[in-house]
Amino acid sequence: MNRKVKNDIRKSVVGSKSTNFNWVQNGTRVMVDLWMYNFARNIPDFLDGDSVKLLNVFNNNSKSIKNHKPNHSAIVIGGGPSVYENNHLEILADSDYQGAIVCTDRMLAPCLKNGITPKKFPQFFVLTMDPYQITIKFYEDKIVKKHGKGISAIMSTCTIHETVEICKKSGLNIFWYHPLIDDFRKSESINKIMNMMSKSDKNPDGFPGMQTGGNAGCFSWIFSWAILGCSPVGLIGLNMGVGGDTPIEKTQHYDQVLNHFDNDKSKVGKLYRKVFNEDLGTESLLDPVFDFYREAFLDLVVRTPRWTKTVNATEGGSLFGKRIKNMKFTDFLNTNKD
Amino acid sequence: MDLMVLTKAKYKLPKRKKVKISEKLKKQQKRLEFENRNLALKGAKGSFVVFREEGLEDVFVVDDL
Repeated sequence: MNRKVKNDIRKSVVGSKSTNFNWVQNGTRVMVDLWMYNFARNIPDFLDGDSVKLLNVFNNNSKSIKNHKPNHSAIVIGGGPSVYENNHLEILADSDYQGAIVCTDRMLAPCLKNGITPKKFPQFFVLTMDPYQITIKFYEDKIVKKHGKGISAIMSTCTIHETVEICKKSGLNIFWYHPLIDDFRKSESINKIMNMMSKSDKNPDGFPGMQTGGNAGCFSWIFSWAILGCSPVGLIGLNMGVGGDTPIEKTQHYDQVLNHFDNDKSKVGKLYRKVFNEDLGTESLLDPVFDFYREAFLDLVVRTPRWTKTVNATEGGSLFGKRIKNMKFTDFLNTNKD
Repeated sequence: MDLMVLTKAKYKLPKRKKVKISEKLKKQQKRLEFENRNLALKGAKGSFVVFREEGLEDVFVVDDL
C-alpha cells in the first residue's frame, strides 16, 4: 500500500462520527431519476399487490408501538465477511431457532444453499431496497424458485422491474413499501406523489413509507422491529466495514471512490478511517460509504422504542455503542430460541 | 540470405470472430450505463436519508404518506 495513503487513514475513537452527513443525504436525492424509472415500470404490479402493512403487527392489532411487549426475536443476515469467517450460516442452519429470519437479498441464495430454508424456518423474509441491476442476480438462482412459495419478499416500489418479474415467476410472496427519500409533509414531496400514484381499490391508502438507512442490512433491522415487532434483533454479517488490516484497495467501494477523485490515491485515503470496537477489542476499516451507513445506523438505533434491543452478533465489525449489545452468535441462539 | 521484412501489410492477421452481443446483454449494458450516470452524480457517497428535521427524528414507518 502507498505509504502516503496508509498514513492518511484517520484513526477514530468510540462514538465518533463522520462529518459529511448532509453531503451524503444530498447525494442520495440526485438518484431520483433512477428510482422513478423503476417506479413507473412497477406500477401495474404494485397497484394489484400486497402491502407491507399486512405484516405490521402494530396496525393489525391496534397496539401502540411504544408499549409493545415483544414475543419473538429476529435474526438479520447481511453479506459481510464475518458471516463466512465465523461459519454463522452453518451454525444457524444447525440450530433449532424458531424466530424470524430476515435476510438481505444478497444473502438469499447463500442462506438457502446452507440449509436456512423457509421449510425449516417458517418465518422467512427477504428484503430488497436497492434500485440497481445487481439485485436481479440475487433472485436468479434456481434454488430461489425451489423455495419461492415459502418466502415473503419485502420489495421497494423502486426496485428494478426485472427483479420483480423474477420474483413473480419464482412464486415469492411480494409485499410493497415506498423507500422514504424526502420530507413527505411537503406538498412537493416525491414520496407523497409516489403514494398518490399507488392508491388502488386493493390499497386505498397506498403503501407505507419506510426508513431504510440506505442499505439492505439496516433496512432489514428496521423491518424486524418496526413491522414484525421482534426484539431482540440479532445481527450477523452486518460488519459495516472490514478488518483493520485490510488494504484500502481491497475495500468494497475503492474503485468508486478512486474514480470520484480522478484516480488520485492520496485523496482516497483521506476518506477512510479506522474505528476501534471497545466491546470486542477489534479494529475496523471504514470506506467512506460504509462510514456513512454506520453513521446512519448509529443515528437510528438510539431513536428506537425502549423495548427494542439490538444485538451485534457478528463478533466484530463497527457497530457498537449506545443501545447496541455485542454478543457471540451462539450465545444469542442459546438465549433466544424463538 | 534474404530476409523478408515482416510488416503489417505482409502479415496476415488471424480473423477474429465478431462477438455477437445478445439482445439481453445489450439491454443490460444500456441499463448499466443509466445506473452509472446516476451513480456519477452521487459521487463517492453512500445512499441514505436519515431525517434530522424537527418532527421527523423518530420516523421509521409512515402509514399515511
